[in-house]
Amino acid sequence: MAENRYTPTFAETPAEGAASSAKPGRHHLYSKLDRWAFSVLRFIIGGIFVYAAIPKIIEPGAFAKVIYNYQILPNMLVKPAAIMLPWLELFAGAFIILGVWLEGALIIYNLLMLIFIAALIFNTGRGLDIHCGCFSQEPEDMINMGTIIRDLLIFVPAAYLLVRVFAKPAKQTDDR
Amino acid sequence: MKSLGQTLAIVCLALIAGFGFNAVRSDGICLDCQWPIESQADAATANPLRISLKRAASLYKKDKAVFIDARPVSAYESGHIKGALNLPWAKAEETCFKILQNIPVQKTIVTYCSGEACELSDLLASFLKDLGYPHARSLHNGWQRWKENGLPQAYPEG
Repeated sequence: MAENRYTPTFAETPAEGAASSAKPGRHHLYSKLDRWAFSVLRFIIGGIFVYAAIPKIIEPGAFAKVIYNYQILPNMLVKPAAIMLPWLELFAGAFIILGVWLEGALIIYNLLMLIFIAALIFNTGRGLDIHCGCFSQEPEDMINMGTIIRDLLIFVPAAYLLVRVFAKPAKQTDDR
Repeated sequence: MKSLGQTLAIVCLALIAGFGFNAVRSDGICLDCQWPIESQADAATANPLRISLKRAASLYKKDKAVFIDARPVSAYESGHIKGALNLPWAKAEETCFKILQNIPVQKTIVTYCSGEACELSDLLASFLKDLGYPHARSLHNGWQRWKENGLPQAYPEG
């Protein structure tokens, strides 16, 4: 897996390269800042999923109840979802932090965020007073506009990372 | 294709880890057992504050109870039990006296909210009981079940 580690670069086209050779100092600073911002975002975004997955893995029964209360999945899928979903979050988050299989991990991350946001909007819209179950199984964490906005705020940087990874193909070697 | 392969690989890892860990842990989810929560809505007799839908509907038809919606104002305004008052649990302490001033203490009060896991109606019924309304009761998942049974509802016009 180590050879799949993603290393972002700032200027990779010939034009960018020419421009950067004219201003090597500036390019170096941008490149450094770019890499730094990318890494920080990866840690934050990945950390959120790892943090969210742990209580769900610890209390699978409580998480199954949360999924059931959303009243979206057929009953036969509630328990399998409660068993698998936290691990999917954990692996996606951990791989984003580690920079391993980054494209796949970000695809999963963004898909899950879209599903979570859609479920929150759907259930808030139909007036269900249910626990979010997003970061804990505590009853205080009810779904409302605040939880939707919170998820959107997580989704935006995650979508940026996804676009960024696909817009600038991963280099297979460390060029630092 | 590489990204699709990675995505599938992570999904497979999650499946293996999830079901594998669930199989070996002592408090894992029993996949063969009957799902217990489905029967909880009306079998909530363990909570003495709760009232069955049948009993609540009977009291409603005889006009023998005041219904109070424990949900936020926005949820209440988008649809509620016809004739119900609104006392959002989050503001119950500040606004209860305005709502309760015309309700005799011996009157039966039925609180409700929406969703299997909603505890607002239980909390409000308990609060009202402490305030001196001994016949305050909670209709679990009341709004959802009320709608499903086609009982009288009120919606904003237009």
